This record gives sequence, structure tokens and C-alpha cells, in this order.
Amino acid sequence: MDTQLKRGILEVCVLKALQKEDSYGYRIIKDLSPAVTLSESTLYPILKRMEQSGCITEYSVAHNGRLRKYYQLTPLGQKRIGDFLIEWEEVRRAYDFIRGEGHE
Amino acid sequence: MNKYLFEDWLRNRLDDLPPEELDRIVAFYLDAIDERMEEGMTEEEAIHDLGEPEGLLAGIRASLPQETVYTPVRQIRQKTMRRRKWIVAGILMVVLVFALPIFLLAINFSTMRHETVYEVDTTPVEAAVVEWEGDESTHTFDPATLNKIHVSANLGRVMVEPCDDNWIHVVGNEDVFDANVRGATLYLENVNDDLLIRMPMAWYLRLDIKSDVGDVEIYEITAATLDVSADLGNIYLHNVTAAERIDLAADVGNIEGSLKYRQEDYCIDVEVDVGQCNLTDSMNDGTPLTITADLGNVYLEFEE
Repeated sequence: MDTQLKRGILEVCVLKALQKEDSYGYRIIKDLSPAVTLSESTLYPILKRMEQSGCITEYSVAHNGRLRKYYQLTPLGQKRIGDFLIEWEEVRRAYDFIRGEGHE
Repeated sequence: MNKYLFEDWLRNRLDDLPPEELDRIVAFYLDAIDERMEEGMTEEEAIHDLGEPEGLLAGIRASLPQETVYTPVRQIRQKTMRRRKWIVAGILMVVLVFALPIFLLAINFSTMRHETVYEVDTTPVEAAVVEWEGDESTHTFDPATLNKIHVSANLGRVMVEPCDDNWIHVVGNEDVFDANVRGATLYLENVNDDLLIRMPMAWYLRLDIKSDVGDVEIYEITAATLDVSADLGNIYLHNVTAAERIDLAADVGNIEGSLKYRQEDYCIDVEVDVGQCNLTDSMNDGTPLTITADLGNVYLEFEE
């Protein structure tokens, strides 16, 4: 699969992981693990890009004697998830067609 | 491996990044280790679970816009110095090419250093390599099976100093340096960056160092024989001696420093073409000390 495409999909997956509630790096990886295999080395650049594009913000919370960094979805990030689903509706229709029953 | 070594490694491999960015990255990965340890992993398991180190670095670098990376002043200065050295080298090459026929006529052939041809056994001896710490760039060898260290350095300095334990430690940038043992000789080849060799005091080894551009600095050691040859660099000796023979040769650079014992303990044969020399030939029944300098000065003292 095209790397850019894959990266784009992974980014939206990360946004989705933050949709229900704010989360932190390791938990995002675990939440995504049934669908997508992610590691810190892949996650770091994604989080950085999302923050730069305004889709997420970050804040720190004291936890067990250290600061845990939490990430939060912004309205722009929410919109990105919506846009993805609309764009990929078309892809899904094409997929169904290609996969569809029989050949003429 | 622990968190602190991991952090050192990360900071070392990313030392070209702006400090704020580097701190952010380090904090991110240390958090990742903490989270895993909270889950019950050991520190070792947590670091291992982060994934393959080079992949980590690639992911980090992929996320950086090109403008973020800058070359710190130290690196720029090193690059400028290297460029300057090459310019000097180029000019001197031209000078030497024209001056060489004249020198050949003037030099008495018997005073030129003789290349000793060693029988090289090319079967690699694994047993001499005790420890190979990749990221720390320290390689340790067992001197028990060795009787010679042969160093061939291109651009960087070569430094030799004594060490307390009974091993030979070689410290260098392992991207540009190669070490292997053939027969009873440890061959070290260093392209650029500095190389440090730490030898046990109590061991008698033959030390043979050839340096193209960099200086050679030797501290406080006693070897069986000492051969040092520097094309452009200087040779600095600090309270050094050899049991059987010392041969020092510098084409462009100076030979300076001090030898152990008294001047009378050496049979001196010195040949200096252009520079000044504080020593004269002697006929003593002592350790043969042969010094050859083409353009540089020779100044050696004796530490009784």
C-alpha cells in the first residue's frame, strides 16, 4: 500500500482513539492494536504532525510521581475523522464493486 | 540496558537536533518506558518493547522538517578544520612533488626507516575479542594472545595511554573504525575521528602507529618496540619508552615531548632535514632511538 496513504489512515485511527476520551501514548497504541499495529516510533511523528496541523492538543497530568502527557481531539480533528469517512465511503463502494459477485 | 543508557544513546544519536526538540523526544520515549514498567514489564523488557533502535531513530528523523536540524558549532569547526587540513595537504603535496627529487639526492639511504615485513597469519582469532560494546564504541581485547598492535589512521588523532586493568581497550567511532586480530597482531584501522588505545602497563607489546593527517599522542607507556610514523601530523610523547627499539618519523609535523630515563640510556640516530633538533647522534650502548623529520622540528627531553 502507498506509504502516504497508509500514514493518512493511521493518523485518522489515532484521532479516532482520542474521540471518546483524551488518552496518552501507550494507551493509544494498545487501543489501536486490534485494528492496527503501531509503535512509538510510528506514533511519535503522527502525534507531532497532528499537533502541528491543529487536530490535537496536549497537556500533562501528574501521575505516579511523574508527568503523563495526554492528547486531546480538537474540533478540527473531529472534522478530519468525518472527512475521512465520507471520502472512504466512495472507496468502499468501489471495493464492493470489485469484490462483487460474478463476472460479466 | 537501562533507562539512563537508553537516554544517553538517544541523545548521542540525535545530538544534531535543537535542544528543545531533543528534550521532547527523550521525554516521549522515557514516558513510553515508564508506562510499560507500570504495566509490569521490567526496565529491560520495556526498552526492548519500544522496538528496533534504528527504526526508532528513523521514525524520529522522518517527523522532522528539514529546517529543524542544525549543525552545532563544534561540528562546523571540525568540518572547517578538516577542509583546511586537506587544503594544506594539497599544497604540501605539490611542494613535495617538486622537492622530492632534491631530497632523494640529499638523503643518505641508510638512515631511512626500514619497513619490516611481518608474516601475516590471516586466520581470524575470535578468542582475543572479549567485549564488543557497539553503541559505546569501546572494544576490549585480551593481550594474552597478542604481541603487537598495528594502528593505521587516516584523518583523526591516535592517542595511547595506560590503563589499570589487564585488557587493551580501544575507544573510537565504530562507524569509521575497524579492528581485527590476525595471528598475534591487533590491527586497528581508523578513517577519521579520534582513536584512543588504552594499554595495560605491565604488558610488553610492539606498538606500530601510522598516521596520515592526525597527530599521534602517546602517554606514559612502555612498549617492547615503538614505531610511529606521521605524514602530516605531529608526534607527542609523554614519558614514554620501549625496551628494544624506538623509531619515530614525521614528514611535515614536529616530534616533541619526553622519553623515560636518561639521554645516555639511548643510542640516538637523528636525521632532520629542514627543522631544528635538540638531539645529536650518539654511540651509547643503549636502546636504539631513530628519529627522522623532514620539515618539522624535533624536541625531546628525558625524564629521569
